[in-house]
Amino acid sequence: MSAAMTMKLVHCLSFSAVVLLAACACAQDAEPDTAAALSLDTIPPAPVTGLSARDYIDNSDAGDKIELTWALSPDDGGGTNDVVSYQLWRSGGVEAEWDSLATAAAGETRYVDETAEPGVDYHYGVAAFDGTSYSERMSFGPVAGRANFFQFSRMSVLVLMLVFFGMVLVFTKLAERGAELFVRRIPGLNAIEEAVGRATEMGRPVLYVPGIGEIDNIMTIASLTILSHVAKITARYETPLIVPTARAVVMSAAEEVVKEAHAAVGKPDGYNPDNIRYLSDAQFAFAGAVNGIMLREKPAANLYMGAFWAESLLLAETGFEAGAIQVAGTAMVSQLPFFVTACDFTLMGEELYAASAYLSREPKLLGGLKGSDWMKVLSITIMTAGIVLYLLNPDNAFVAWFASQ
Amino acid sequence: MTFIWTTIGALLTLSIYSFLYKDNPFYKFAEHLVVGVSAGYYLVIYYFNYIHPNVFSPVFLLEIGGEPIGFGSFLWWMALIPGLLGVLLYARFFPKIAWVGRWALGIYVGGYAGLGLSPVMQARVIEQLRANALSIAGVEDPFAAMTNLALAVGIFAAMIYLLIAKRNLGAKNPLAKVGVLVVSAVVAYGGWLVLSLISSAGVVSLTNILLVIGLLGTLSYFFFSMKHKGILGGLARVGIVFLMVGFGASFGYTVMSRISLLIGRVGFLIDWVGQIRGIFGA
Amino acid sequence: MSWAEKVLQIDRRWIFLAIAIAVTIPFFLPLGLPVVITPPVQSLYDAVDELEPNAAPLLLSIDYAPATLPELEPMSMAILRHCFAKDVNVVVMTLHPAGYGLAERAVLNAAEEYDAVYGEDFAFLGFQPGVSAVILGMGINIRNVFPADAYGAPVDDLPVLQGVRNYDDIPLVISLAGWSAAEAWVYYAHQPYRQTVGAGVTAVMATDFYPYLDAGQLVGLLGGMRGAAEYEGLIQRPDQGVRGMDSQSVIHLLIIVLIAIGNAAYFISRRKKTP
Repeated sequence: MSAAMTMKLVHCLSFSAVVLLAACACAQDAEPDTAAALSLDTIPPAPVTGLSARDYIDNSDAGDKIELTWALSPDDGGGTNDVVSYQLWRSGGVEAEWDSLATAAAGETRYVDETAEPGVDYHYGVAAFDGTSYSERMSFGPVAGRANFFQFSRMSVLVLMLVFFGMVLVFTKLAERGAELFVRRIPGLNAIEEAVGRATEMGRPVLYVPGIGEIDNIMTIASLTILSHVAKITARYETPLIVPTARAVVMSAAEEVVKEAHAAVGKPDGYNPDNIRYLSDAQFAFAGAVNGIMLREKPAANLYMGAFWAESLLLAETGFEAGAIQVAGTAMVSQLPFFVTACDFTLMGEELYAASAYLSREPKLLGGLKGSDWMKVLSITIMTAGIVLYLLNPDNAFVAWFASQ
Repeated sequence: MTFIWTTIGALLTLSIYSFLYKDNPFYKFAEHLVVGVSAGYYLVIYYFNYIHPNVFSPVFLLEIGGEPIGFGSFLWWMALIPGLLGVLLYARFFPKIAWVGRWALGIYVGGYAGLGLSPVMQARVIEQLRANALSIAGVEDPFAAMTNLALAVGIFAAMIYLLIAKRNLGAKNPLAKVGVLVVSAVVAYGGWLVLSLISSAGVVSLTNILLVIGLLGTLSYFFFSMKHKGILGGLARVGIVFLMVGFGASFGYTVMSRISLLIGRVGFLIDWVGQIRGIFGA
Repeated sequence: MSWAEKVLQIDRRWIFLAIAIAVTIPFFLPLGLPVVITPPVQSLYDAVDELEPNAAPLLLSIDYAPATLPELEPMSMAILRHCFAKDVNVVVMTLHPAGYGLAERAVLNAAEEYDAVYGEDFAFLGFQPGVSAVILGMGINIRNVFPADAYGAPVDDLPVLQGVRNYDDIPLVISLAGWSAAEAWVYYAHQPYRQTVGAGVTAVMATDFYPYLDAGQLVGLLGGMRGAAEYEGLIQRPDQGVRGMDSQSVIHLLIIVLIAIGNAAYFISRRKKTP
């Protein structure tokens, strides 16, 4: 038997002891039959009636709970009034042996067996106990626990999730229909444009690192949208744009993006495929190679957008020493501190996605951004409401519903 | 025997650290060795812990965890179908049929997203909202809870005032006046708070209040549907202050972490030198 | 060239050298700086300390790989020693493929020190891939995920796991991880099953875990080598963690000085350039 079960039993027992003491105290007031208690009570109490067991359904469970109910023995609270507890047994079948399950205090008519194996048929037995002898054992069965299909206690999770998904879908549909969804301009985009402008003035190239994430990484995708924006500016000003990549697929995607950008601003001849480079899949080899580009080709603007890991500081520090203007953007929280310290401007976390949605106006990106925006408003509202309602009444139904597990 | 392994480990550690001076063949050798060894190690671990017990053994040996299963039984199919889906992932090497790999990937991604959605939503959103709300409101004494709330609102308003009111609203704006009032109130309240803390009146720590303010500010910073002007601008500025403090703490922790790794390796090297001295009786 | 510019252009290898010296010296000349116990460590210690001897086991998930060994191994040693010294049963597992050997090494070494018996005082379940699926599955029945221990013995044959079906029978889970595994225990064991979870993580990750601590989703937290050192202090058995703390303090001091000098030099050199 596990410790938890033992503890529960101990609790049950000590509780029944208290009940017993209280019962004795009452009994002494009503009918002082100490003599009867001293002499051995050989008459067993009357058995319980109406024993029944069912799968516990009041709350959600994995099918390991079975609820027993019974009517009090006529000698509990009436008759000879000498029932001190009820003994509960469980067996794995008609033929199987009875195992002691628990003890319920006198006056109790319900017990939840929380140790059932889901789907196994059990028989339960209950007998009243008067301190010396047991009543006849009543039994019930077979009964099996079934896992609940729905966990009602976690309704708040479902509701919030549906609301969130709903908002994302609605905003996406709105964007698809061409509704004007306002997204504020991200200050980081101005910083990017300034950096590119400075590089043009100085006649030096722009370096754009789309991170070392794979193409399926959402940060890489956001980065390619921003790359398209940057490539249009550099194409217009005829500033060289160097894009080193760590993944072959990202390289082909970047080639497409930059080529299209040149075509879009009417300068398809300005596209130089040699500037979109695959360096290495290995993290530090890639970082070393990019550092080499920074030192040899001296770009005046370094843009780091996408998923970065430990190479972030290696890149940003070298760029800083080389004197380039640097703008970074990533949703890798652990790398943000390094970019923030070593770069002139950093798009933090969601700003990267927001910038990409702002530039592309792609309905799915916009929908996601707007959905999560209003989710934030909802969160603040729920929290404030929670604080106020809880202060007014700690047992508030809304608070309880949200806090229920 | 142990000493030989330790020596190999120590030499490899030194090879890696030699990179700090400059790139060299020792470093390259050690780096490639790490890549190769870990690829082999993972292959073996994954095969014997994953593919063998979950696919190979049930499908071909008709056994799960030592228990026999029937050919064509439910459990047999439940091992075979996911196994085949896994094989489909390799279709990406053949461009013509690469698309079938997406089915398997779709099931995999969908399944894991499903497993994760509800617990993550609960752990990262609902529980956090609840804890933040309760950190202010959930104190026994309702009076203390009210004062917490007042304090939170006060500090918040004061920060907004200090950060934006003068710049964005002009000193004559009523909001700015409210800000001044609140700042004075907070100062007065601060004195009272010190007294109440001394007399342990049950006011929760300032940390909780700062936590809630930081949360609200940061959420506002990442709100993109409105321009950062006025109140929202102020909130966002509060948020950025907290973000920067957070990054600073995170940076410091990272330094600590990296230094710990260095300490671990240096300790290892020192123990190794100790072993050499022991062996050669120096 | 002014001193400020010289400072800014210093060859960084001098800094590496300074760090190396600062790390090494305290190993030979221990300073014995005091390690103050912080509340998250104290509460994890209390949670382990309250476990009943020779009863329901602590589930220790050793989820780290060699890359984070110096920070996390002292934690597992300290926790295991705490348990074995108090006769608390321990079941060890890992969610990281590279953690298999490390977990085994930690638990066998600690068990040897205290003459703990395999099967009766502790067990090693080994590795199962899948993280979320593993943790969720163990909530229904541990045997669904780990039908046998790491050495092939059926779980039911191990006395330490007798009567242990799922999280209902495990009073505490502690995950020691240098990646998102510790978070996964919060998501998939604490959230759906209300399992009490404690965590030990690298210092890099520690900031991410404070919200879980504040919300009561974690019962306690060890952050980095420092957390391990505090735990070693609590069980009064100083080892790798405490040993590293002197170096850590010296280096932190050195880094603070370097940051101060670097910033001063940066601002001075900038002021000179601007006019």
